[in-house]
Amino acid sequence: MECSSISLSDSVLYTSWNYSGERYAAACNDGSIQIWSRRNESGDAPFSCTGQWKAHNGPVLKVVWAPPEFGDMVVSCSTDGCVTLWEEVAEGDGDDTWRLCSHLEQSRTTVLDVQFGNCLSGLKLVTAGADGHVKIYETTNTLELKHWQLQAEFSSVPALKEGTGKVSCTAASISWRPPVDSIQRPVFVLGYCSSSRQVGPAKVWEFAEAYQRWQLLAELAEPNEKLEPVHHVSWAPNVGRPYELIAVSSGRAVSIWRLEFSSDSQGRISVSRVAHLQDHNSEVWHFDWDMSGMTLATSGGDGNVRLWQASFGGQWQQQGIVASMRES
Amino acid sequence: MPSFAAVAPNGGALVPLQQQGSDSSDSSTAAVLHTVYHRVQGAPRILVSWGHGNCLRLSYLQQQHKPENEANPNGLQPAVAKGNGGGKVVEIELGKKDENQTLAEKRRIAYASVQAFAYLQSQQLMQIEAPSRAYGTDWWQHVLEYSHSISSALGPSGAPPGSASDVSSDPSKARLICYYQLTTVKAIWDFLEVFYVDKNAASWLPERLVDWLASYDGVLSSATLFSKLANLQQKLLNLRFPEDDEEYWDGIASALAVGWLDIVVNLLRMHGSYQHDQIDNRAVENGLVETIAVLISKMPRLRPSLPPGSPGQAFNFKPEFTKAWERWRSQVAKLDASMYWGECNHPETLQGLKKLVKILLGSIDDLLAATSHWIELLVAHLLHVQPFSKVSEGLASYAIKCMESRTSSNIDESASTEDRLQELMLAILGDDTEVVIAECSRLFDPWFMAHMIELLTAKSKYAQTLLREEQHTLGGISLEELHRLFYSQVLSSHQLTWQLAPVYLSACPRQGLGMLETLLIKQPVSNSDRLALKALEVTRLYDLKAVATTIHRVVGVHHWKHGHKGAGIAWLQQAHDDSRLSAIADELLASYSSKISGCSLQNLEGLVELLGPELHAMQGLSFLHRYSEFKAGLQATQQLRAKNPDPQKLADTGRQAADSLLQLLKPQVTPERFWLPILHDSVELLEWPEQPLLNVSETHLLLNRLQELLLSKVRGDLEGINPQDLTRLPLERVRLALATNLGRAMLQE
Amino acid sequence: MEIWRLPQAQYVDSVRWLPPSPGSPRLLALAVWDSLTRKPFLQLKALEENPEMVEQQQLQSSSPWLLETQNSWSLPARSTTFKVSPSEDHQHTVVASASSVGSLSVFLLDAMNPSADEADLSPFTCEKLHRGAVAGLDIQRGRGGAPDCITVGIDGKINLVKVGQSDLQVKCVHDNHGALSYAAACWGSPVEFATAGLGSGLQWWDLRRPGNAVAQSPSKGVGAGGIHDIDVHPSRKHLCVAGGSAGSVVAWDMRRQQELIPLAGAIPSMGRSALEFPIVAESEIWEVKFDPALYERGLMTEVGKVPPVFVCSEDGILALLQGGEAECLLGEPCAINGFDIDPEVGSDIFCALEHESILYLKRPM
Repeated sequence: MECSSISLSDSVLYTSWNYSGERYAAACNDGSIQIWSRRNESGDAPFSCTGQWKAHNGPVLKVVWAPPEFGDMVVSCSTDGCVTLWEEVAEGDGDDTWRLCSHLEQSRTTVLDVQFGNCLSGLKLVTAGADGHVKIYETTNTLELKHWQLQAEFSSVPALKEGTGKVSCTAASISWRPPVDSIQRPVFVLGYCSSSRQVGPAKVWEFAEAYQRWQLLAELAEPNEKLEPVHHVSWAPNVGRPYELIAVSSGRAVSIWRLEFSSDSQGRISVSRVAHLQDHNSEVWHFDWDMSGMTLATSGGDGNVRLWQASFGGQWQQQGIVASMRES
Repeated sequence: MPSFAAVAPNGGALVPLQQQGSDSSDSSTAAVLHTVYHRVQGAPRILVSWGHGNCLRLSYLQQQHKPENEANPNGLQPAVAKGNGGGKVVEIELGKKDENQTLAEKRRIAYASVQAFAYLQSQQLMQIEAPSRAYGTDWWQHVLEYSHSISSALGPSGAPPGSASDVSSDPSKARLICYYQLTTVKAIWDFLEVFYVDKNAASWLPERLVDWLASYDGVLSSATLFSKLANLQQKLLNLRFPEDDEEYWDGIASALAVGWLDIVVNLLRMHGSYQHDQIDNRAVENGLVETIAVLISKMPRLRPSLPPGSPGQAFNFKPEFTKAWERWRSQVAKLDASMYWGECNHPETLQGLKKLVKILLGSIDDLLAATSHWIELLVAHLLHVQPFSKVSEGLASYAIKCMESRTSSNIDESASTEDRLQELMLAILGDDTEVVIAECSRLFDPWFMAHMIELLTAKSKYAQTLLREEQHTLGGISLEELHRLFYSQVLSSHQLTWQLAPVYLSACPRQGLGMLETLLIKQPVSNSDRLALKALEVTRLYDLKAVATTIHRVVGVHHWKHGHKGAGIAWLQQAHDDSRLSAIADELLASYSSKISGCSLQNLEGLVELLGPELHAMQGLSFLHRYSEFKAGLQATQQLRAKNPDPQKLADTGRQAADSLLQLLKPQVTPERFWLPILHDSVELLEWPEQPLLNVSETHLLLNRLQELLLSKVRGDLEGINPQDLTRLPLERVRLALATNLGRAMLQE
Repeated sequence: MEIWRLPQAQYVDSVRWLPPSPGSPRLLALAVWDSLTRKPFLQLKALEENPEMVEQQQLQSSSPWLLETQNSWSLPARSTTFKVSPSEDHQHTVVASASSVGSLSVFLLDAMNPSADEADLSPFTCEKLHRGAVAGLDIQRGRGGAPDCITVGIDGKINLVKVGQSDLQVKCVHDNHGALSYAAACWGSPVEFATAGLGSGLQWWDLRRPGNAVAQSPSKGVGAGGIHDIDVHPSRKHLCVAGGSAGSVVAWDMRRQQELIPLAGAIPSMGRSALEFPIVAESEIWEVKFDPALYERGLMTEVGKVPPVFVCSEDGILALLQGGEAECLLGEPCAINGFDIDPEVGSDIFCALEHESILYLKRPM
C-alpha cells in the first residue's frame, strides 16, 4: 500500500509535484531549490535529485510548477522579496540544465505565495506579499517567458486601501479556480495568515473584463463570524458539478464553501458553508482535492492525514485516516 | 420504503475507503487506514498531494520555526542541521483491496471485464438509436450475456468435493484452483444474476439455487457441507467398509438434501455390498442400496436439462414434472413401507438408507440435520418439501425461517464478513435493492460496484429509478454514475489500466467527460512519444479536440526545449499553435542571422523545410522559407566568387540572390522587425563590384523599407525591434550602400 | 486460422522469435516490464503444448499452448526497441534492446542452447548512446565478423554499434543535433540501411558514402505524426515499407525515389481518393513487416507490385496488405504494440498486446 520514494533534508520548507506527478520540486530554507525526477523517461527508475541550485538570498517559501504547455518550469518566491522563474533546457548538445528564465523584482517585502493561472489572454502569475499586497503579472509570450508585465497590484486588506496602518502576514495561500472546459478563467481565492484582525477571511478575486480590473467576488466568512488566520486554501476541481467548492483552513478547522454562480445578469454568487471539519483539533496545514473533486485530504498538526467525502445526505464525513508515527 | 441513507454504510458514506472488518458503525471515528513511520523531529508538517487516481502523496517535512518577517525580513534563516534529514515522501494507494487477489490478477479481470462492459454499452446505444432492430431480444438477455462474460473472467465455477466436475482432487488440476481462487465475488455475482437478470430462472428457481450452491457452497462459510464432504472424501480413501461409518451416511444424506445427486450415487456405489468377495449374504442389503440409487437417479427435476451423465430426470414443463414427481414420490413411499427393510441385517445401512428415504420424503427434521448453512436448508426445503411452490415470492421470509431454525440449533457466532454475506444474500432473495447496494459496497471493491449495477438494472424498474435518478446532494450525478466514476479513478491510479477508464467515463453523462479530460491532461505525455500517441488515440475516439491540442502542445514544447527541434516543430504544428511556431521562427531566424557553422545551417534548412507545409497559414514561417532561399543565394555567390568564376555566371547567381531579396521585401511577406537584418545582409549585393545588381526602382523599394523603419522609430511603434539597432552605425552603412547603388543604377540606365 | 491468448501478468514491450535451433523447443524473446517491481526484464520463453488442455476445456481462457519461462535477465532500462538476430557464424543469437534513456544492451546467447546461460549473464551495455529515447534499432543480418547494430534516436543521431567479443564499439554515422528526429532504422545490405522519422520521410544511407543520406523520399505522404517503423524487403533491397500515424502505410521504391506508394491509410495530401487503397487502421501503425512466407518459399508477386506486408496498430488491428487490399487478421479491443513472424515458415505470429498478454496466431499455409 505504501511506497516510499524520496528522502528529504530537514531544510525543506515546501514541495510540489508537476502536472503528471512525475517530477517534484523542493524549496529549501537555505535559498536553494531541488528537483527530483525519476532517472529515466518512462518513469520506472527511483526518484533522484536531478537539479539543485541557489535561487534566493533567503529561505524559499514556495516553489510551484508552471502548466506543462510552458515546458519544465518552476516559479519560486522567498523572504528576499523576489519571484524567479526557472526552466529546464538542453544546452547545446549537453545535458538538461536549469537556468534562470525571468526575475520579477519585487519590493523588499517577503513574497509568501505565488501561483500560475493559464488564462486565454496569456499566462498570469499572482503573488501575495507579506504586506497584504497582491500583484498580478502577465505575459503574452508563449515560448520564452522572459518578459512579464505587472498587470495589477492591489491590497487584499481593506484598511490598507486608504493607506492607514500596516499589516504583516506570516503565510498566504492562493488557489486558482481550476479550468472549466479547458478554459482557465481569471478567478482565484486568496487567504492570509496574520495575527492582525484587519486581514480578514479568504477572498475570491475575479478579473472583470468590462472594467479591466480585479474585483472582490466573495468573502468566505459568515456574518459576525470570529475571523481566524487562514493557513491554506484550495479550489476543488469541477468535472461537472453545478456549483464550486473551496476548502479553507482557518484556526483549527477546515471549512468547505460552496459557491453558486447564478445565471442572472448581475452575475451574483451565493456563498454558503457546507462543512466545518474540526477533527484535527489543531492547525490544518495543507490539503488537496482528488481529481474528481469528491475527496478532500487534509493534514494537520496532529500528524494525521484525514480523508473527507460528502455522504449521500450531503454531509461531509471523515472516511479514513493516514496516521503517522515517529520511528524509534 | 427505507430511505437509502438509512441503510447505507457509515451513515450514508458513498464509497467506503476502509477495509471490510475495520469499519465501525460509528461514523464520528473514522478508521486508521494506514500508518506512516517517519524520522522527523517533533510533529511533522505534512504536505498533501493527489497523484494519479487514488494515489495520495504525502511529504513529511521537518517543522520549521515560523519565519519572522518583521524582525528579519531579508536575512537568511540559520539552516537547520542538514544531511541525514528525516523528511520523506510516501505514496499511498487508497481503496479497498481484496487480499485474495494479486494485483496482476486484478488487472487481468479489469482487462476482461472492460470488453464486456463496452459491448453492453454499445448494445444499449443501439437500442436507443434503433429500438426496432433490437426487437426480439429483451434487454435482460444482453445483460445476461454480459453477466456470463464477467463471471467467466472471474474464473471457473467450483463444484462440491466428489462430484464429477470437481477438479480439486486431481493434483494436476489443483494448480488451476490456486490460480482462479474461488471467491465470494463470483458467488455473489452469480447469485445476483439468478435473481436480478435471468428472467428464465424464475420458472426453475429452486434448481438454479441447487446449481449455485453446488458451485459456491465452499465459500459461504467455513462450516458448510462443502467442508463436510471434503473431509469425507479424505476419510474414504482409507475405509474398506464405509457403510460402517456414520459419517459416510451423514455425507450421503447431506448431499442428497441439497440435490447433489451425482455425489450421492457415487458414494452409494462405494457401499461394501457391491464388493464381489462377499462372505456374508448381503443380497437384500445390496438390493435396498441399489433401489435407492435407482430411485435417486430417476428423481424428477424441474429444469431444462441436466449435465450429461448426471442422475435425475429433467422436466421443463411443470405439469409433466408434477405428474412424474408424484409418481416417483409414491415409489419412494412404497419403498419406505417395504417389508425388505426387516431383512436387512446391517444396522448402519438400514439406518442410513432410512434416513435417505426420509429426506426424499421431505422430513423436516432430517433435512435440518443434514444441512448446516441456512441456505443449504433453504435449498433442501425447496427440493424436497415444496417442489411445486411458486417460490419467487416469499422466498426471503422462507429463508429467514430457515435461518432461524439454523441459528437456534448449532451455528456459533460467525465472523463479521460472513454476517455481511448473509445479510447480502437475504437482501438479494428479498429484492431489497437498497440493502444490496449498501452491503455490496461494504463488502466489495469499486470494480464490483461499477459492474454489478448493470445486473441490478437489467429488469428491475425500481432499481433503475434508484440508481439512475440524479441526486442533488451528489452534485447532480446518479448512483450509477458515481460508482463508475469511482472505479475509473481506481483504474486511473495505475499506468497499465488508465486506458480502460475512458470506457467507463464515457458511460457517465454528467462528469465523465470532465474526468476524462483531467485524466488525459495528467498523463506524463512529455516523457514518451508513445504514451502521448496513446493518449491522443483516446482523444480521437472520444472527439476531445481541445485535449488533443494541449497534448500536442505539451509534447512539442518539451521537445523544443530539450533540443529535439524538429520533433518540437512537428508536434506544435499539429497543435496549430501559431504563436509558439512564430516564436520558433524568430529563434530560427536569429540562428540564421548569427551565422553559425555551415553544418547547422543545413540543419536549420531542414527545419524550415519541416515548417514548410503550413506556409500560407503562417506569414512568419513563409517568410522564413524565402529567407532561407535568400541566404542560400548569398552563400552561393560567396562560394562562386571565391573560385574566380566566369563573370557572367557570377552575375547570374548574384541576380538570383537579388531576386530572392526583392521577394522578401514585397509587401506582406516579411514582418517589419526583420527588415533591418535583411537590409543588412543585402549590403553585399548592393556593393556588387562588377555592376549594379538592382535597378533604380528596385533600389527605391529597398529605400522605402528603410524609410518606413525610420518612421516607425519616430512614431515609437517598433514592435519587436530594439530601437538601439536603428541608431547604430549599421543603419548608416545600409543607407550608404543603397545610395551608392542608386547612383550606379541611375548611371547605368 | 487459429488464435490463442496467453496472459503474461507483465507488460510486454516487445516479442521476437529466436532463430530455430535443432533439439531445443521453439523459443521467444520477450522484453517485459513488471509493474510491481517497476523493473524491465529480458525473458526467454519456450512454446510448449499444454498437457492439461483436455481437462481445461471448460475454461474459456485455456489454450493448448503454454509459454514456459526458460530464463530471465534484468535489463538496465525499459526497452523501447528490441531485435533478435543470429550472428554470422551461427554460434550466437544476438538479442539487442535499446531503451528510453538512450542506452543499448546486447546479449550474446549460445545459439545451440540459448536458455542455458547463467542467470547473472550481463549484457554489453552502452549508456548515453543517444540523448533521450532510442527510437529505432536493427541488427545486421549477417556479414563477416561481428554483428552490427544501427541505432537512431529522437536526438537526430545515427549510430553504428559493432558488437565485439567483449564490448560495444560506437561510431556516430550522422548527427543533425535534433533538427530531425529518427524513429526507425532497418538494414538493407551489409553497408546500406534505411531510416525514417518525424518530417524526414524515408532516407537511404550508404556507409561507403558517409555524411548525408544517399537518397531521400518525399517527406509528405505519411501521417503528420511521422513514421514509427520501417522494413526493407530482404531480397528486393530497393523496396522499403513504412508505417506511421493515422493508419498510413507507404512503400518506397528506390528506383522511383520521388514518390511514395500508399498502401493504406487516409492521406489527404496524396490527392488520391480513398478508394484506391484501404483504410486498415485509423490509429498509429506500430510495426510493419514484409510477409516472410513468400520470399522464404521463393514465391514472388508480380513486378511493380508491392509484396504483401503485415502491419499492427494502436487500435488493435493486425492486417496483411496485399495487392491493394487488406486482410484483417485481428481486431483486438486494445493496442497491438508489436508482432513477430516465425522465421522458418512464416505461419506463426506472436503479437504483444497492451493488456499484458501475448496473442499467438497460426495461419494456414
